[in-house]
Amino acid sequence: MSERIPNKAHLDDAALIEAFSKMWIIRQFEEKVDYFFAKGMIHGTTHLCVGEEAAAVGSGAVLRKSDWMAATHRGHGQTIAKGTDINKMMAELFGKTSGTNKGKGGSMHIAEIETGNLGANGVVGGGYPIAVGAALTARLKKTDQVCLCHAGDGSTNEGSFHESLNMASIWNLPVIFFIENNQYGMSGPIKEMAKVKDLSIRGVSYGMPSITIDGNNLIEVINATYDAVERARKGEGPTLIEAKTYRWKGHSKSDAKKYRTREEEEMWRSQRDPIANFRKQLIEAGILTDAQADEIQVKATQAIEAAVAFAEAGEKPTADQLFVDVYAD
Amino acid sequence: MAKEVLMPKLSSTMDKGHVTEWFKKVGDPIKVGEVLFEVMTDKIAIEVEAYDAGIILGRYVEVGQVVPVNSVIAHIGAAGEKVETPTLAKVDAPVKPVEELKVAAQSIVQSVTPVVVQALPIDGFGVRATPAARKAAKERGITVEAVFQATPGLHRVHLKDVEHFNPSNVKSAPVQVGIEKVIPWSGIRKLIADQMSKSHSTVPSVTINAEVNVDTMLKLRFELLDKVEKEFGVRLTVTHLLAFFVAKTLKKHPNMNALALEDGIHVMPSVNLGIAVALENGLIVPNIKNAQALSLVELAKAIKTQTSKPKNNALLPDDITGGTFTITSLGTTAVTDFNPIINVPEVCILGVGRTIQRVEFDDNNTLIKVNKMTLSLSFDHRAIDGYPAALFLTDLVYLIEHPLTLLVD
Amino acid sequence: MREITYTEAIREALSEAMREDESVFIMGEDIGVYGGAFGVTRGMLEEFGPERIRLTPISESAIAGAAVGAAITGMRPVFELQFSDFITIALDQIVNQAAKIHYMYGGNVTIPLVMRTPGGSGTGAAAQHSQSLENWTAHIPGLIVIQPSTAYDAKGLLHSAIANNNPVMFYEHKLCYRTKGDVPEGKYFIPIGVADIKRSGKDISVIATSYMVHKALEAAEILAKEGIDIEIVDPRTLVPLDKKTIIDSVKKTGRALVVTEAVKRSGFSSELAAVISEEESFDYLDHPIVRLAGAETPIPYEPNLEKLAVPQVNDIVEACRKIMAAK
Repeated sequence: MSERIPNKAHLDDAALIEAFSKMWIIRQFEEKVDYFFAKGMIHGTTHLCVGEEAAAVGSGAVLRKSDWMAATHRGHGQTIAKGTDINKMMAELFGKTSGTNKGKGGSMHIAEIETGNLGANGVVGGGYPIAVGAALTARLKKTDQVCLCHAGDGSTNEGSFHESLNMASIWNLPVIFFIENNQYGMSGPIKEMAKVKDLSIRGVSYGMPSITIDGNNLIEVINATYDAVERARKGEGPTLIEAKTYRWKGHSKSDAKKYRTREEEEMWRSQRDPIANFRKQLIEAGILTDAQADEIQVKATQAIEAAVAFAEAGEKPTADQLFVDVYAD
Repeated sequence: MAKEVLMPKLSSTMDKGHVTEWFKKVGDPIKVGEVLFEVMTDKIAIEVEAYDAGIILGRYVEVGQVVPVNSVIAHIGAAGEKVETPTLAKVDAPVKPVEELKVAAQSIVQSVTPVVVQALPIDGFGVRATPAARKAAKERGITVEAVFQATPGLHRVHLKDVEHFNPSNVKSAPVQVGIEKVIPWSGIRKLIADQMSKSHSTVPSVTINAEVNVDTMLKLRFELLDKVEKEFGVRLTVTHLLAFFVAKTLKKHPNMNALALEDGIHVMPSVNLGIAVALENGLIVPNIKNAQALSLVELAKAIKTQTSKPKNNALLPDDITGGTFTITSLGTTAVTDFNPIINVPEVCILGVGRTIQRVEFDDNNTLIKVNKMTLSLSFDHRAIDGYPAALFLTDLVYLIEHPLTLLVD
Repeated sequence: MREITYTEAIREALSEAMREDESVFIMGEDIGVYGGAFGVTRGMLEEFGPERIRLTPISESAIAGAAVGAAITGMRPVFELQFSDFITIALDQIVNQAAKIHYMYGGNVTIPLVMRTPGGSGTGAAAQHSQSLENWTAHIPGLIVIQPSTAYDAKGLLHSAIANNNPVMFYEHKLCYRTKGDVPEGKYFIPIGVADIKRSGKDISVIATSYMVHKALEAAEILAKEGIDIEIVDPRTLVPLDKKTIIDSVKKTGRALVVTEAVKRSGFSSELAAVISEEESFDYLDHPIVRLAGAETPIPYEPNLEKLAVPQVNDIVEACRKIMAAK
């Protein structure tokens, strides 16, 4: 447990440095993906989570490897936070058989069951009941696993959100509904799409503890998630966490961001950058020096370069793979 | 060994026929190509020439006696040779009392299944047949069309219809689907195609028709036939006579004997009369130069020579170039009148239709039987107007009906 | 062997599977004390308890999705949709999640779940509780679709469905529930993807699904008296489809009548007809393929209209007579 930056999860200095490193890896991963899309080296579409790193890493940091996590379509960060191999992730985006999904899923479906990653979901709200199902497994098998269900603000208007919260609540299932409220759906501002100011209010109506936090404050995310996970492990049921954050980039690769002002974007970038703020916090607490922080960032960048090299070295699926794995044996 | 003379099948639909005239008696000698008899088919009368030379050993049908095609109706052989008189099938049953007919009809129904041929659908999609029926038909080497035609009341050919089908019960060949062969646009076919297209697309052609009473001309032909044949070796035909009258009439109407060329209408000094000859694979028009200057016999001989050249492959370029007026005859067919396409650059073509018997009132208001023919004149309206063309045709008709006027010409 | 109902056969399969495998559990609306809308799970709560006979809120999307999540993480859930019409509410989880995850994740995970649901008309339940929508799921690669017609098939196929590692759509029929048949005691499997010839005959291959198999069997008795000998082929599983049995039957008879309760237009009858005409059976057809299927209307409430909306025994008899009389 770090004494210089106390937190409920009892994470020590090394773990906090690791969290800082992961946030930077996520940002570099996303910037690289953005670059490859622009170059036309990755096709399809992708949804980047630059600016939302603390929400992903702070919540993921509390989980065990054996716990479950369901990601959203903006899921690269959540996936990296859960421990999925970035080499395999990058290879998946390149459509290689060495990818997490053997090149069949792409950005919106990265999954890695070995690390408890139940997969990103291309359908908004599609992951809620799946997370409930995973929590149900833990319940039926009487394990102490929990399931972290990532979701976005827009998905709280889907029926599956309401059905799933209610079901998890009445069954006291070990699931944490973690809403990354990045303020916008594709273009629709959540303040116009929901009448309630805080989405956490919606959890209250299903009888579960619900909280709204600063999603760009890593420690706050860690603390809230820890409380929720503890409740879940003790069989006290689900929790809803609304983490307010901001997506720096457009919804997907073809977004002119006409629905928001440049001033608003600038405010979030300059004042509420979760990585810059946590770096400052680490340095001020004396956990890292400037030089050490820089070195961590350099290493993160190198790790991404290595992931790209891994992805490029992979094989494209052969034509016979088209019909492989439609059905399981 | 005596050769059989058969009632010929002269049209696709002809199944019986009768002799309208014998030109040879028993004991007469006959040469190959000599006309032996005239046959009336279901449509027209046709002169039939001998295929063999020799003596007429026997004649087995009377004029007017109807017999099936391919019946032996005469024998040609060596003098004194014995031949067996054939048994001829009777076709025209004598009129019988109604009761007797009914019995006969019943016995037919009982003894044989009549072959009823169902018409093929004409919707352009062919006969409906199940895949199983088509497969079975293919295996048996028959067509589903044949099965369909042979099975009255059928809506769609099923497997059992193919299985029950007996090809020997069907007389006519089934209609084949698909393309039998492709005749390429080459050789004479291409020449004809080009010439006809050119004429049809460039010439504003008008066709006018006139009926002509040919009794006098036919009488004249019969009067002259033997004499001309004996003395000049040419058998006078209706075409010969018509050509002669045309040449004479053109003398009075020189503008009709012309060529429409780029610089204008070339009125030609001599009548180079073209006669269209149907070939197996096409049509060709050899012409007779200076026809206006020839006597009837000279013209007949020239026509005979020129029109036989294509069949003998003896045509020279000169035979088919330089024509000024064309006659085309469908007189031996069922056609009464038609719109012949002008043989450009000529400006006229005369089409000759079949001769048909009509009943008319004569000058005394008495009904008489007359033989009539329709002449169809197509002319190039750029060069010739309707009225002069009509006058030409009127003069031609007059001359055919009154050939003796030539004496005072 | 003893005779039991289709309902009892399904219950037996569920109970046998649950006794044998702890990972099998069932979820659904009113499946507990009530025993399910059609009584299939009656008595099971008492034996297995509320954890494994899991009564759900009226949340079809969450039911289906929870089954997907449980299946991914190692359970073998069987969930009941009270009426197959309600698949409309669960379709995202079935079509976009369950059907695709195995493929989309590169084969790294399996989704061994079973959706049980009753389809079909004949109970006066009207338009929103009487449809036959099996074709919707048959259209989706990744799903297995089963339509058992008899008690024997239902039990053997349900055992196979539960043991299968893919999402299986198990369509029961409301009118089949009370039908009876000889069913062995204990667990047995009927392989998925194998059709069954319910009656052998030489004149017409009647390919009938679900409750239409029973109607075809009735029609066969009437037709037999007229000398028309129909063969009844029950595909039993729509996906994967046992094409060979169907094709071989049509090759034998040369005539095919397809009978489904589902609406004709774009229904599974279309698929069956297409298979017959595109495979080698085409060459043996001696009559156009005939389809008898649901009228292109919602299912009406009034009993006579309801009967008119789906093929009846007499429709099958008439269709067969017409086929045999074709000129």
